Amino acid sequence: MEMEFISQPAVILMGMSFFGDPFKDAGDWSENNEIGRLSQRFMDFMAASHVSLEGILASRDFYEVHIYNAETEAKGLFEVFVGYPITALNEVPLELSCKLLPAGQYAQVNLRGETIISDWYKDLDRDLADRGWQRGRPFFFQVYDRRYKGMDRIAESELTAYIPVEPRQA
Amino acid sequence: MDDQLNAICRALDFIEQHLKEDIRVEDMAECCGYSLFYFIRLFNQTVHLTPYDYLIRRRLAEAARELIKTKRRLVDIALDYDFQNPETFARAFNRVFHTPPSQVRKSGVLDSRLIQRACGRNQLLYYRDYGTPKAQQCTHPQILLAGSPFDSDLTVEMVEQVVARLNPFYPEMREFIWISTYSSHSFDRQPAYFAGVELHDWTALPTNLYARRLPSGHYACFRQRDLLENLGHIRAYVYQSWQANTTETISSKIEIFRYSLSKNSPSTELILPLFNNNDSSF
Repeated sequence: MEMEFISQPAVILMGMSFFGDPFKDAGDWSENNEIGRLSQRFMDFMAASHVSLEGILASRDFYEVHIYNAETEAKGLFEVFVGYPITALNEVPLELSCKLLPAGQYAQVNLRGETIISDWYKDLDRDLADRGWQRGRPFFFQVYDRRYKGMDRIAESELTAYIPVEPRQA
Repeated sequence: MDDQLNAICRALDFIEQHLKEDIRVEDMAECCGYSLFYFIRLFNQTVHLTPYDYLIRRRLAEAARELIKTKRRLVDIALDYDFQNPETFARAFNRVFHTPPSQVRKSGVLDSRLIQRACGRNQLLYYRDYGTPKAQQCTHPQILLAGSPFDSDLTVEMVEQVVARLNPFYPEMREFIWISTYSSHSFDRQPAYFAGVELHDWTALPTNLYARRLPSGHYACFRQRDLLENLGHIRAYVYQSWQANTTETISSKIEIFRYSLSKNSPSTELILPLFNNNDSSF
């Protein structure tokens, strides 16, 4: 897997969240699972507020953040946040909340074509360890930019995943 | 005192039984055995609405229910509830619900807090025992909050959950702020709930928490002891009686609660944005 280790500045996102088991009703990469519904709800909101919010967006790159907690391993419950990066908190609408992706060291993984919907993260811990790193914090995020063409054109799509890392402890 | 309360309850029952009929305030007074002047004054003191305003609000509430639940023509519903014509009905409807009846028919939803429910003895006893919450207008600067979403309305029990979730990040917290957001984008859902503490530096936001912005502007702050225990009564008062008797208009988009965790006297304040708020969020 193509992986690079980078130092990343903090990013603040504006968006919507879900907590629970997002795959309870439909599996990974289905638009009918809770992540699909959450993304749709956010996109509908943004479409309705398009003009007034354009000024605070840092970019139209779409972030999907997965945040794990004590219940994740046992019950499959975790938090998903979707949103856009912003430059200031001042104009964030009441309906949306913000999430801070902290500055730090990240493993940057570029995913192409069918790899996007594969279990690429299954061997992540081993891949990181082989390179002298380990997960730093219990979350990761994926960035969908113009390289991502959609589920129906997955073969020609590309996206980047970021995993916070720290040097491997012996 | 109980005699007076019973008399007003009789008047309220009389109104319920004759919502679709051409009744006058004189008829209500007669049903209580009071003079018109005395009845109006007593009703106003007890229900915190004039008898006529209460009657109109009850008619509008039932008319709104029919608009949503049935396919009856708007004009028939208006005439049924003793409005002279659809225009008078639409004007009254818009004044109370801030939405035209045609829109409610189309969307099938109406903010339940704006609907005047039949006022019962419990609401009157609440007014008698607690008085009405005191409103104070205040101007707040923008506040950033660090916190977490919750999935049900603020209750006394929920306070413990809020403290349990925020305390690991802010062990010194002395108060939290609760926001219920009633979004037009989520008509089919319950409000979105969020509780947090004031955040002075967004770069210090923990990854497991969210930031929310509370816009600057003019707010009406309501204080009363046992506010959370009586939230249903307080909402009924604020969105009906207080709103009817003030020139200010509450934006129903959000409700804010400031909960003080003081061990000696925990207290809650209900803060509602006023419509003339400068912030476009409202």
